[in-house]
Amino acid sequence: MITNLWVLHALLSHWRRHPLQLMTLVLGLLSATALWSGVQALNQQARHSYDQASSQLERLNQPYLVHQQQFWIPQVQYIELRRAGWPVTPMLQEQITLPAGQVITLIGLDPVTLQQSTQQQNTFTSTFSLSQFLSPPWEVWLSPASAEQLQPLWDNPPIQGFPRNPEGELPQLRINNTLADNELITDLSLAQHWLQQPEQLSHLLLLDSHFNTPLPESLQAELRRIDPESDQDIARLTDSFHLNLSALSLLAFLVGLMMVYSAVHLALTQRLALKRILYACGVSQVQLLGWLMTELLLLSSLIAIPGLIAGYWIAALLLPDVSASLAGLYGADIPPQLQLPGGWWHSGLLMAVGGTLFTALVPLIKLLKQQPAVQHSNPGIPVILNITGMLCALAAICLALLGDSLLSGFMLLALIFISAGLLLPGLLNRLLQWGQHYSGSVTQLWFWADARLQIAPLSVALVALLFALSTSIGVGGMVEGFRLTFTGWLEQRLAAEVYLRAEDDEQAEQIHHWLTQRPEVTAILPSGRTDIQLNNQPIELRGIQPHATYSDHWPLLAATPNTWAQLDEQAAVLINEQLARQQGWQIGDWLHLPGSMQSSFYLAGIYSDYGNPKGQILMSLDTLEQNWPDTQRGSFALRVIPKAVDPLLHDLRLSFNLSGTRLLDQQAVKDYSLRLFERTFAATQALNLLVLSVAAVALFSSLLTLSSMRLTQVAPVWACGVSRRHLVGYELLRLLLLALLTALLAIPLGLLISYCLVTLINVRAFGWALPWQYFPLHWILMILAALGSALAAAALPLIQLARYSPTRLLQGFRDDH
Amino acid sequence: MLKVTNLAKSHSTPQGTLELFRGLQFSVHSGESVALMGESGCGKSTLLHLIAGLEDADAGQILLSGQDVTAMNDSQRARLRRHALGIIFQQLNLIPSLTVHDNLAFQARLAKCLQPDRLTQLIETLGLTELLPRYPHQLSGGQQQRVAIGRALAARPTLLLADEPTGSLDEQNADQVMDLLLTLVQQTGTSLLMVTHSQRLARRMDRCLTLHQGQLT
Repeated sequence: MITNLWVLHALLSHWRRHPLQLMTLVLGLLSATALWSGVQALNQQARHSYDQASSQLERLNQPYLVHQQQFWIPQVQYIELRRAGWPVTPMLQEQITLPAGQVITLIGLDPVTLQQSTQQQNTFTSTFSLSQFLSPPWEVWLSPASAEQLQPLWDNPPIQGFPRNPEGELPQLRINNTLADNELITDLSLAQHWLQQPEQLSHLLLLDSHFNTPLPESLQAELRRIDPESDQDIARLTDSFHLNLSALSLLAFLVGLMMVYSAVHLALTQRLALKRILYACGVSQVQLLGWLMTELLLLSSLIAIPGLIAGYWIAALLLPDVSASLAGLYGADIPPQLQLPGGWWHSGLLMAVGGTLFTALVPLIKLLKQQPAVQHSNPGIPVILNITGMLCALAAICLALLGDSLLSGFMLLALIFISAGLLLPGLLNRLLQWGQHYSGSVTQLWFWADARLQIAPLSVALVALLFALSTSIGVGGMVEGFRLTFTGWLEQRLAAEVYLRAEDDEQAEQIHHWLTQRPEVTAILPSGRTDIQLNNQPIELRGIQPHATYSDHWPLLAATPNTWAQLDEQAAVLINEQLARQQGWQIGDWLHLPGSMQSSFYLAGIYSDYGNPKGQILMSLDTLEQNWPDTQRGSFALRVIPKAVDPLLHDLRLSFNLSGTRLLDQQAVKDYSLRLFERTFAATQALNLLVLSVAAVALFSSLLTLSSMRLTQVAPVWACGVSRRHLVGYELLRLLLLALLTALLAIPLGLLISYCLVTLINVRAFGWALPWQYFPLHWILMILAALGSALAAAALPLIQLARYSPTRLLQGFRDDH
Repeated sequence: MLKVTNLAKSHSTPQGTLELFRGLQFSVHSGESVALMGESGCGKSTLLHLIAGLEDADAGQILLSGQDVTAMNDSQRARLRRHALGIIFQQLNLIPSLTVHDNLAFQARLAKCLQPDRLTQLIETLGLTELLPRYPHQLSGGQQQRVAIGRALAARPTLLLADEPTGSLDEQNADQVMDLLLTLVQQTGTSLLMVTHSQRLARRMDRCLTLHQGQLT
């Protein structure tokens, strides 16, 4: 054992002699782990919230009230609402972790008020006894699987706490097949006791979904209503959003791992001599492999911990923007505090360690096969790289032609990246070979030839730079294109000057009457809405009063020649783009909509509807009301003489006490939408910038690590009569050239990525297509960023070279470091 | 041709300053070949580096064809090496990114004195014709040293400095390389100052200097 520890000591001593390599390894793994685990933390936080919001509450399909800031609701507020005539029932729902580690959802409810809800009556069976449920020792209702899980706890309960009631007794287990697994339903008071939340509630369930009375003024700042339709399918709707974030974080993880690969590869090849000595001393191949793996496991585990802490920090930093996006786009409710399960730490640690071992695989095999140390002296690029790159490109073309799912879209992007990464060294070599061919002087010849020599040792860093730049060009182009399209679309879509939503039908009528008396209002355009389910998808039906405001401005992607007249006179409908793609509907189709009096509706147009995750059907208000009598009315778009908008808003607020969100002018709606747009892409942009920074650090660490190896390459040139000043100049120019060529190659790659994002990924993820646009100014910025990164990365190694004493340079003739 | 006067050099070491030599004086005449011998660490290589302007002397003067190397700055020394000197080290003499042909022509082209006929003759003499398209890492140690000799002589230097040029070769290869080196030096009339540990090689030179305890004998 002691002998073995000496082997480990000998292996680890390498890092003491090469602190820069260790720094590269630390930086690479730290950034990879941080970016990956940070985004996974965001995703897990969001999914945890969806899970919390779903389960029993979702199945009840009733609207409910929650605290504005995700706090508990004091029971006195429930009493206040009941006294004000609100048909609400209290609930306390929270996840608890059992001693064996299982996580279950505990739901405490009040059966007396809840039994007014027909849905809940169905949940319990005829065997339900109100008195037994409400009185000691109380009852716990659960599924058969949950009962099996919990039985051991009931057989050997702890002295106090769950599952004992306040009297120290065990409640009765009541099994019900209709209940979901991992859920316990019990009386509210027992749940409050177990959760140690006396007089506190998590939800107030509205027993009448049509109850639309505004909250009492004292509770408006405390509580808010969540309607079931806005909560349904949130996990499904947001899948694409999380998948996009995951894809970007995976890219960041890979870029970080490239740095790890560089460091591990170099460290292993530089220890070939040590390996030979250890062999000579009697250490076997298997032992050596074991100790090298142990060393990597140790290092990666140690580095992963600060990486996870940094990931937590990144997640906390991005969470406000992500939750604002999810709330704005999908109505999802994500608490502002990070609450991460233990699994997050474990999976992050596993990714870091697994990633390190994976990147070390090839260098380890090389080391064990006793290949000589990498000389970095063959300017040629292995043919296998080019062939594999070509094959990946071919596979990408096949996938582009045959794939039609979101996953295949991401696989296509992955293949594009892999083939670009594999082909980059060969392409750079070709370009430099061309330069070498046309070089005039001997120093030019050496300049180009030496640049070719640099491709192999710098290839991993250059590929990282290519990925970062092309992602920035691709994602940046997509976001910028979306911004332009979205802004133009908002301008057209929000043609009315004022938008208002009355609190109820009575107020709507009063407002309508009031508005007819105002001469500055040139048109009152009422609208209505209702929701239906079509093939298990929630669809919103909207009714509008046909008017020139719509026919002149509403942006249509496809339409019949007289769309608006058909909408008005022939009960035709328009649908949004996402619904058209989802259902495969086209202009001229006849649509059969569930719950309508009319047998079918003529499809007269398709309109763009960016930011809406749901399908939407537009028809005249008359058609909507005739076919769906339960249509909610009370919304108005108003055409107003522009200079009279502000006084009108003032008078409306004064006369009808309309809150901020119920009465908005055009600019306020636009501002809100654009603000939401910016926040939606804030996390994406931040991740983008981080990937670029990681690539710059990768380049820096590669150069720094290789700087001592460069001595053997530049020393003969110096000895032949090229001054150190010139050598430094050539080194800088060479690196700038490599960065420039990489940036130039990143432009077509970025455009291809942007094209895939707007025409494939967006369509498959969100249901809308965007026009593909490109932004040359952004390319110039990226080229400058690449040159800046190269300059920053090269600064320290070049200063080192300029300051090397002649003695240090002469070492270039003595050993190969 | 080379005149060294009162040359002094010391190195800083963790144990203090180590004086290699002081008041060193010697000269090498045009076309003369001189062996420089001495025990390991006595400063032979350092003396060669000082003459080549690769390191700075503490004191003294080195005159090469009348030019004072010790008074030159980095750029002037680079120019001197380019035009007047040929240097061959024990190993790693070649530029790894260039082919054998480009390595051979490198210094001569740098000095703008490349004569294609002379280069071709050198290549034939050194037996490198078949190796021209190869890269340094594709050559054996002996082949690499032959290329280094060719590169050093292609620029027609007045003085060739060789630091144990056969130190890393086996005896047979070492003999072949030395034969070529001495033949070419004689043919071109180039002066040669060569560091060696081998008495046998030293005996083949015109003169032998031994560096011992900082003094030449």
